[in-house]
Amino acid sequence: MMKIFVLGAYPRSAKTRKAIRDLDEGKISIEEARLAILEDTAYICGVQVGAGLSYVQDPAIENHDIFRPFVESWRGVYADGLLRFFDNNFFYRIPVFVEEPDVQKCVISQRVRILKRIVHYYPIKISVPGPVTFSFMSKTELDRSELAISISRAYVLDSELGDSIPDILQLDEPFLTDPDASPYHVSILEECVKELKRRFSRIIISLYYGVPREDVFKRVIELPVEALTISLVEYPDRALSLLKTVRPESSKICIGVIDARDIKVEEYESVKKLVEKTIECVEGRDLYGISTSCGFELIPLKYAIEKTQILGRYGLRISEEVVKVRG
Amino acid sequence: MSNYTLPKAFITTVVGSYPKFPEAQEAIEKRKRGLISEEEFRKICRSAIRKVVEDYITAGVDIISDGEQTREDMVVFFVERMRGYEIGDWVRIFDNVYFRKPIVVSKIEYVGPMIIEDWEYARSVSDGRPVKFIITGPYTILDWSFNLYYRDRRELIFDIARALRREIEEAVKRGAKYVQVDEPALSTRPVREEAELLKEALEIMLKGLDCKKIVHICFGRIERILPYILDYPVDQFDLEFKNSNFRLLPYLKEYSYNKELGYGVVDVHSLKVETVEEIKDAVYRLLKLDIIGPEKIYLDPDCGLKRLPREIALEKLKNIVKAARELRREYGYES
Ligand SMILES: [Zn+2]
Repeated sequence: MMKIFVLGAYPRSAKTRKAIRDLDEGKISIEEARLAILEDTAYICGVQVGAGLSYVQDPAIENHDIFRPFVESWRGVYADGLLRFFDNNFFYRIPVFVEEPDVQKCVISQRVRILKRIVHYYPIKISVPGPVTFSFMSKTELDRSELAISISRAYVLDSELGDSIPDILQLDEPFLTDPDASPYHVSILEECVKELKRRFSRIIISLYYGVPREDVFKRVIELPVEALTISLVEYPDRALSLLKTVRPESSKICIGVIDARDIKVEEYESVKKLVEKTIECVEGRDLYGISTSCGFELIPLKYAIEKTQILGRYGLRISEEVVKVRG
Repeated sequence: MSNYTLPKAFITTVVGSYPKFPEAQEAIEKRKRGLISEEEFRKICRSAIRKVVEDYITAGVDIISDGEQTREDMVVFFVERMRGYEIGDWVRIFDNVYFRKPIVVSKIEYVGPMIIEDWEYARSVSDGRPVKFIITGPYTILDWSFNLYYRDRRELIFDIARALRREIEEAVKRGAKYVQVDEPALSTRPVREEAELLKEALEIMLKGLDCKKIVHICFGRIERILPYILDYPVDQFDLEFKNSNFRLLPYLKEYSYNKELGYGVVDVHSLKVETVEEIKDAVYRLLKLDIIGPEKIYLDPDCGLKRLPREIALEKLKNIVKAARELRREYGYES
């Protein structure tokens, strides 16, 4: 059965934006702000379940950027000035690692616990910054490959200390779609995956915002993970031709077909065509799944909700019309 | 009209924005809340523009700007004044800070002058110094807004270019000699397809206009698109160098750069004021490449100065001007 899921975080509601502002200004307590975040989280989880998605993606409402919750919960790293986040008109605070991360508070297990209380009957997916992206987008004097491995160990420790494991751990590795990323970076990721596999049995690697280089992609698909996501939204021709050249095992590939950075709603036929073309390119019978192109955090919440529902609707139709017909 | 003679080489200039004077900031807020009319708004901002121009003259900058005192944001300002846009919902810029990202909801059309008044006012108090006409480019406007109307993004960017052309045509008619198009968004997606899309838009926007045409691009990986922008229909590229430690220089050589160059020699993200020596060293490095001569080199900051404290912005400009004067003497353009 083809999987259908969202790739990353959701935007905050107006109420939560205000609550966080009020918290920063000392007008409300942390408990009150947490309540607003929890309300958003519960609502978004409900929408995902209602849309018939295969996993409930952690909406990560409290994240200021993908790195921040970890930066704030680990010793040895702090958040510095703003830097543009890939090709977005959005800026993240650059993590500065002065020493190897030391877990002070659990993030992953805390999230799993909260989500399990909201949707205990559903598989939970938590996305974390891929160790290579985390390491290479930070400032540090440390050896970056060693840092990536110690970040992976910190994820493992987080899950052990908090005694919770997500059903799926997603490693966000947008850095690997940068033209400067090379097979060397994938070799680091390979070591990281080894570490992570000791604790997390189901791992998805997510490549988004761009299309990776062929030599990078070839190595990533060899990694022993459950699936790999690639976005077909930004540069569809380039992504399809990469799939055609590399011909990965189709049952491991998930394609991003709903543009999570745009509010315009895709038409069913165009999404279906992308899926058909992909299947043609990889000469497979089926795909691991379809997803959004990335997280929804850079569009307003109402559109993120609408697109979640559309992803679910289109996904179910495609499962019947495309995948079943071929399979 | 112009009684100011530009130097023959190492002309000094600015990229555009200057730290906002409090009266301009206040006027922007008031206008947003509907407390003052557009007319009153412009009038209040005039005193800010005059102070900007005074600072430029104090520093000795040759080609100046209006300091973009009326613009709260480089995209929102323009889309609020064109037909086809709606002010959208809140979208995050960083942390818990959001802006209302505009949405295209109907065909983009030019309504009427947007920045001409500010530019003309700056010119009237500039003591004859040329004032650059600086406008946000179609790629950046496209990229920093949502589109719910156009099926094809190409059609959208071309319509934006057509609307902006109307504004530029009007400025040229009123005597603008230097027109600069700002495209900071281009370097965030430094790929051939995007660079070529902007080229087509620039042709719509600038073709046949009788003025010096400049494109400003900053930050990001400019070297990746450099080979695809060199045939843009412009006379000059104004680029950021200092912040990225002049990483771009060898690429200019590699791609045989031969247009005029707005050479960013001071970092607008750093409070440290570059010394005259540092600025001159940067120029020596450029000249050593032996690709363009002093007449084609314009010295300026990496980008707009709006995020710096005014005193620091002014000091940085003063040092650029001092460096340019010394360089002219060294290279025999001035005695
Ligand atoms: Zn700039």
